[in-house]
Amino acid sequence: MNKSEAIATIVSTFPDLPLILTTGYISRIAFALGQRPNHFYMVGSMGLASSIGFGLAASGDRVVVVDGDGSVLMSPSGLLLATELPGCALLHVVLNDGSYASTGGQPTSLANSRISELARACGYESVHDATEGHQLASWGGDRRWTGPTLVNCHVDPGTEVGPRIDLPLRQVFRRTREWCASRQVPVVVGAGRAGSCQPQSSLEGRELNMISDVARQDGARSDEVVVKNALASYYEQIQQGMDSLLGRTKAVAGTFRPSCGLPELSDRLIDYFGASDLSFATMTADYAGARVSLLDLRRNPGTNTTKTFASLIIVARAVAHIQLTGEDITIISPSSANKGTALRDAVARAWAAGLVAPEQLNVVVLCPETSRSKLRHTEGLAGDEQSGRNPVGLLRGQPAANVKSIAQRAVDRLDEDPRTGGRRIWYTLEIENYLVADAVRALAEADHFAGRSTTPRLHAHAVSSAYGLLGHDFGRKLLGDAARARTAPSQYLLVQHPATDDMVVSLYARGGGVAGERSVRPSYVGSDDRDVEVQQMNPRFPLVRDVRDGGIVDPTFYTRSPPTAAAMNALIDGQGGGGIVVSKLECRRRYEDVGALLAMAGISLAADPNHVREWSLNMAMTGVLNSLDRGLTDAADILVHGSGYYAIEDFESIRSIDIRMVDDVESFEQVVRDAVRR
Amino acid sequence: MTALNETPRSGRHIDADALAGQLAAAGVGPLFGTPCGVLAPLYAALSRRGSLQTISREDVALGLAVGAALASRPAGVVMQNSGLGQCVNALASLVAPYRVPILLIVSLRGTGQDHTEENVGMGGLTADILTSLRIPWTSLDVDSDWTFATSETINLVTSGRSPAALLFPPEAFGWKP
Repeated sequence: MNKSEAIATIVSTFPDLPLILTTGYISRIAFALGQRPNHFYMVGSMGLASSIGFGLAASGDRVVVVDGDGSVLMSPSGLLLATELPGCALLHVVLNDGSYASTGGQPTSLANSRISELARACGYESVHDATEGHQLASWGGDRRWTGPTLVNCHVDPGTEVGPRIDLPLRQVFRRTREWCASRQVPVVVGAGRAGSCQPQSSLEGRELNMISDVARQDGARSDEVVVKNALASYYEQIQQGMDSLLGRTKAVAGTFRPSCGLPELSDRLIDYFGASDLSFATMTADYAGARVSLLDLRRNPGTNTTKTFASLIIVARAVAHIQLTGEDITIISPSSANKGTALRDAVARAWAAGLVAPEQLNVVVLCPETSRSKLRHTEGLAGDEQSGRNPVGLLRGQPAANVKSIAQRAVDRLDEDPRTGGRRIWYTLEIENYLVADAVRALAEADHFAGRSTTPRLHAHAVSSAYGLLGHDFGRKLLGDAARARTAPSQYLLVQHPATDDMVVSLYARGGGVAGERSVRPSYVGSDDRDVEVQQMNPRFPLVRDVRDGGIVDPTFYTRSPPTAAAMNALIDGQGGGGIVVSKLECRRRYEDVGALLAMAGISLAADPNHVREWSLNMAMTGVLNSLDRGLTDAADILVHGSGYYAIEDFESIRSIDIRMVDDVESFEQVVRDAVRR
Repeated sequence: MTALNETPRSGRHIDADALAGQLAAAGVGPLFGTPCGVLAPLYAALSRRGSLQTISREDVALGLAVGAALASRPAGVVMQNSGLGQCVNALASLVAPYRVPILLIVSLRGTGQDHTEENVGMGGLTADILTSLRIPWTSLDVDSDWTFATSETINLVTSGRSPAALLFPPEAFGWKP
């Protein structure tokens, strides 16, 4: 047996376990057989493969290490881990060819003959010698090893080797970490002694696995379900949904949008969609008679908001167009911050996954200047900062909402501008991108958190335009009849704040015109605390607000009178639900309560509410608790759509090298031209 | 109770128990370590909490921490800076380029009042090595707000952004020559 054959046997025997591959030819041979996320290619740090394997195994995972004799002899102290961390379910395969293959085939030291003895002396539970592939498979394939097991596998020296591993190494780490997390359906186990292994009994029957996130080990409920890579998991339905919408809607005359739907699913696309995890968990079984659960849509650490989903869809469509036509695309989007961050993150992911090259696809965002404190550095774009391809414009001296009209007008003029070098300029606000992206919420819900078919579920969401809830409704339409029938019927609760309360006002003021709106929006009077105003007229509006902020939770929200209000009103009329407006003061007064509930779903809020930069999740939670306390809903099952939360400790601020100040349409056009001029 | 061989300590110093509590509260763990005289009070506090496992060699401990990080756990490694010397290649070819979010807790033997000849070499190199590898580090000064500095550094790790190091000068826990 030569080394390549041995590696091929190992790779095919353990497609479901993490493989730690040592440096040199062993990693390269495995890489040439096909890169896989469960393979950790340790290209440097010779001698440490088994240490990494023990570290992963000590966290409860069954692990295979593929080592070499030169590597083992370089750091035999790693063998001591068999005693230092007893009980780890580690299969340590040493491909022993007696030589340092990648440095020219020099023989390894005379101590090579002692490897099996060393392993026994260091405390390995069992040690085998193998010369044939079937022996390897028989010792490992049945998954019955219970403690550290070493297979000293004698292979012929001399073998063919594949190319060097050209993946960015941080991507290698990230992919394997995500893969390890993805096979862990969160059945929570207690936080045992650090570094000690789980007893063997808990290692049996494990497609189920311990959850690894330490913060989550306190108080998480057993019904938590993490749906890994939701967009890839439901891709077929999403593609169908996109095709049906593209058949129905047309691009505005004279503007560009990709003619095609979504690209075919490939390994690279799956990797790219890897940021689209979502999860469900019950936070309390009974708050004022309601079960309150969380749908966590902010699990992508690169954004911490649900904007990840639509942005991944938008950028995937751009990728499909580029691949089909060879045309380059510049995405332009106005944003109050989060969409811009998510688009930048998606573009970086498309580059990292090898879907497109940096010069083929870039993104230029225009945000209000007030959004600056929410904008974050996108690590994946860092290598490209100097090129200036992906700037963020900050609009100064104008109302925040003007970012939309300025970006739109710039796009209209730039698409025909020869100075953009024939790139297509795409203004990506088409609703279909949002509807199909947010449809995964309903698709995953039906499979993993269906509730009771006889008990309506109130879906609560902090909204500006309520695309997320319309997307959920669209997802229900994509479900088959049977799946829809066994899932809880949906009702919708709109949660807004005073700066953008139009959807709630629209819901309750219909037919009343301006007078109706006035009767819905209450007037406030002073209180004993001179900074606090109060009202008792309408419980769907803040009962208290701070005069200094007028109750506004986040000044960066700018969407007024959204065109989606009519559709949302019709949905609520037909299926049930309502709306509520909350103030910043109410969110602050609820901060501890909300934090305690979110902790049950594994989310820990910043200790200091002044550090919070994205309040959407707190808004939705506050709206739900206020609705229940005030008797505004009789829902027994409430699912809060956690669309966004982050605090300053969760991200690195955008770097000034990425910022361009914008005063008007002309200066924004110049920003775009500079970004595409290469 | 003072162990017979423990170095006498005096003067103002960082509260090792409080620091161990801060690490635990931030969720840092598992911790792997190799003892160091300067860090002995912290080593004892972490051991009392059952959160520290002694490993014979520092680069092996680093490998373990990387494995724990693959399981999404914000692991830490405790070591003397002489051990950091053992770890240079593991840091340069594994922790730094893969950007593995682990916390390094390292003493600064051979700096300040520690003039022992065998330590001044690594004492002068420790921070420079980390800087060259772009691993963020904070040296904890008894007179500064060490709780704040520590939490900033820990955040880099627990948020999954980056490896980071806390450096402890000889006097940090009251070590005397």
